[in-house]
Amino acid sequence: MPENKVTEHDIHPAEMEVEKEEKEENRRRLLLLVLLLLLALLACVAALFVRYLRRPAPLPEMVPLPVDVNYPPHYLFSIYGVDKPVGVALSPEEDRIYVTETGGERLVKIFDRGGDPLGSFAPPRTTPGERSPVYLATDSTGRVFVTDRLQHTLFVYDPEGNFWDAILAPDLTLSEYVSKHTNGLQPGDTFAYNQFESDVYYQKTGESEQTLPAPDPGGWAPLGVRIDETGRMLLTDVATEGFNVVREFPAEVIMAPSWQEFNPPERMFGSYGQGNGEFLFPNTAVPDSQGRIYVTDGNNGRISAWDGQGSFLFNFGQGSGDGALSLPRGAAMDARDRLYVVDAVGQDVKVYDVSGPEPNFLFAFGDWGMGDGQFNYPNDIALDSSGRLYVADRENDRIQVWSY
Amino acid sequence: MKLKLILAIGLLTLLALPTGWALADNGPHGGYTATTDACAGCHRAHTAPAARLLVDTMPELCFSCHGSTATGADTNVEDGVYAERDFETEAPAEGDVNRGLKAGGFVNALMDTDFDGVATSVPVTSSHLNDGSTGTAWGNGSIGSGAGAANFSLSCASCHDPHGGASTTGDATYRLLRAIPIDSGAAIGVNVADEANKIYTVSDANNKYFGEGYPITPGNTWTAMDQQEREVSNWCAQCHTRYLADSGSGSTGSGDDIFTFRHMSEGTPSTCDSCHIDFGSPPTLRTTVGPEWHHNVECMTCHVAHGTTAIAGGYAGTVEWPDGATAPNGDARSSLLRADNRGVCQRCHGK
Repeated sequence: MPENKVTEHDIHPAEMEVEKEEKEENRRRLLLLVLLLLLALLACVAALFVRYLRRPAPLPEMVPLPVDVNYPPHYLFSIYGVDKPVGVALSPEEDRIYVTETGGERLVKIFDRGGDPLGSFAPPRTTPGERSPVYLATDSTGRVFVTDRLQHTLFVYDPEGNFWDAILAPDLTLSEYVSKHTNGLQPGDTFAYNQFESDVYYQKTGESEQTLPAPDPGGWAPLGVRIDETGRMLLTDVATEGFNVVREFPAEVIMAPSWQEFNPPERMFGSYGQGNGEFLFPNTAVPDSQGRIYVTDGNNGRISAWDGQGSFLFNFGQGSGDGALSLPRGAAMDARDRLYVVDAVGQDVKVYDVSGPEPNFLFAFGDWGMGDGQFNYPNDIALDSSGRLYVADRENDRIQVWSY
Repeated sequence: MKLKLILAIGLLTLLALPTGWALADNGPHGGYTATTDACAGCHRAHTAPAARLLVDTMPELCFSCHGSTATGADTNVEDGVYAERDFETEAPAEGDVNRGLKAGGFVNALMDTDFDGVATSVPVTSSHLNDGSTGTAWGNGSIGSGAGAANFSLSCASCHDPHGGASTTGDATYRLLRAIPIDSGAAIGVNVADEANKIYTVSDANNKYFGEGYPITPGNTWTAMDQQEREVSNWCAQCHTRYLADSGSGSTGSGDDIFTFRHMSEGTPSTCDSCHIDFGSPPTLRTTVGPEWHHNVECMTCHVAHGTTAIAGGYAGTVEWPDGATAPNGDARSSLLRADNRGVCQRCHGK
């Protein structure tokens, strides 16, 4: 018996039509699916692009070469949201940037490493017109030390910006003054000082606020503050009553858990003038790895070098030519004993190798302007261990971040 | 352009001066030697990015030392305070830090404009221009020339010569004041003599902001003070030409259609006994005059030079400008006065 073979002639034309339509339908669905997938992919790419535009990630950093090569850093990005910043410092973990601003509300502002704002703080019981925070530094515990030119005071805060204490004179802290007049302070007691008011305020736990007559802080004028890794504090004092000096506060005094007994030995060097060993508005003092101290001697337009015993060594950077300074202000030292000096009027940062017996000018970076990598009255600098450099760019209202 | 050329030539001439051309002015503002380093602090001979061969524009350049950070000077003109004791006239342990500058400030000022005995540091309500923006120099020009010079621009260097020796003879002047303010249109110039001791602040931190003109140097005779204070008024009047008026100008017309009758600004009372009953120390004054009657009346008796924190409400806050315009109203109409509203009138007239 012959097999019953089904040929296309046996299929009804209507069924063939249905089958063709089904195939066409499937093809359309597949096409639609692919199109949807492509659209979704495009949307994702667009979203990522928009996100990048709104918050560009900084360029990858270059790790400093472990060899003795000297070349200028390059510009990374800027942190805005500060009004006439003049001081910059980093937390010990280098994950926070503290900035003093002298415009607007005159606050100390906190940013994370990417430049996002984290908060701000100011001396308690002061108005913007009564404060002028300038330079600042952090110690190994994260406390923030801020000099205030109008308050003639060094204010100290915890890492979050909560007021901790204040140095009112070279041998007097606010907690010491209040403690001596109120039979001691206990944890939780609060106190505040404002140079423009005649009273000191304090409040003991569970009691109402009280006042004390404010002390006369004498003739000192703290300006630039730096704290080394041991806790030793170097503070420039620009009081014009006969002397401009650098004061040294030992680590055991600064790092004491309480300052209710504040008796630092009087260690200072320099005097007012233009000769060797004299200063005209010293702004900052930074140590190198060999114990020498370098002072930005602002109005003398030079760097003044001293040994660890406070004996004058030499000046450099004054005059003309490469490495000549106009108005040196903030300074910082890196691990290779390279001294970074911010030249406020020179509109750049000048870098010197001070590791040898004589300083050697290496290079300068930045110039005047408002573009990326240009400065408009820079005033201070902070370095981190990854090779980042933070420069307070005053009249451009930003912190510039540079990197190697 | 012509002005820039003149200034550039002047700068180069200064650079070429021989040794010994020392000025009485201090710091970087004078005392240059043949090998001075001071020029490079503010100027670049061939690569200056700003006019006058400056490294930057004003007032930022000036504020890098004289701003609120006071990182290079004690005279903080932004906040109107002197950051240290006025040590030229006081022992180290005397006086107060942060005493108010006589000129007030450009951002804040430490003043006691309501005479409650307490000076407070608050934002200024009016100030002279200092940033190159434009305004009207009221009273500028000759009699009958309108309300003043419009589109007038000022910077720190319009009034002050940072090189010192600003008199027409090269001598030091009070506060480095130029003999002729830039663009004032004045032809002759006024040399305001420098102080023996530079006293930048009011004599007391509290309640001494009225009548403390120039100078307050102890020991000066009234006659000498009269002369010096006249110099200041004459100096101001190089721009505010038609504000300069002697006693009697309140009743004798000037012929100007706007500044017709004017309070005296360089005048003295007609006779000594119009105010004095005796000349003791302190003198006994007639009850018809106010508590702060000043021997001479000059511009700085009632006004500060930089900026004031005085408030102006009610009538004082709506007084129109000399051209008839009424805006801005309120505190911005404080007009550099040393006292709130019209307290400056009452301090002398005691009505």
